[in-house]
Amino acid sequence: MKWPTKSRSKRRIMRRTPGGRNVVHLKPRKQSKAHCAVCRQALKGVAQKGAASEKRPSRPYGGYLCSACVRQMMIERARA
Amino acid sequence: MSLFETGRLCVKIAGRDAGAKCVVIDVMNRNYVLVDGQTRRRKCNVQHLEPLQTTLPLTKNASHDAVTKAFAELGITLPVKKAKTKASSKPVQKRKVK
Repeated sequence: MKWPTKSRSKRRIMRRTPGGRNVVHLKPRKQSKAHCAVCRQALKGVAQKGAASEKRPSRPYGGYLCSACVRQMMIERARA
Repeated sequence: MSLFETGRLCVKIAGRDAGAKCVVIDVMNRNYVLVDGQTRRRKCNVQHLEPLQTTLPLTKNASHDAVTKAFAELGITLPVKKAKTKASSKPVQKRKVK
């Protein structure tokens, strides 16, 4: 059986076919969760599927900073 | 006397308008005020607002034009919203019948 790829970027799924053969199915790997650039917590409201604007909150720094960090930054900016 | 009185200039710190300057138009109750300015004219929780030192000479429920003038004095120009042309008023293109 010619091995389709050596790259490890695909996920290997072992399957047994009805004919009793063991085959390997290659599936794409899932993206890792987005994290806030400041507090490193997982971002809420960041989707993997959907149109570009649906993939992140419509807040400034949406998809880059979490809501708490944006709030903190805006306060500091206002008080400066 | 709370900070959030009519005319108080604030910055919205949460939501879609985060970072935008707005002025308190009307105080609804302890938690909610009506704001206008760079943000949309909307009800907003005081926890999402950061009050600033300045206050603007505005009356209660001031109109958007009054707010625009007051902001102009501060040197902040507010975008003028174009009136939405009704869909029906647009000329209907005839589709070529093949």
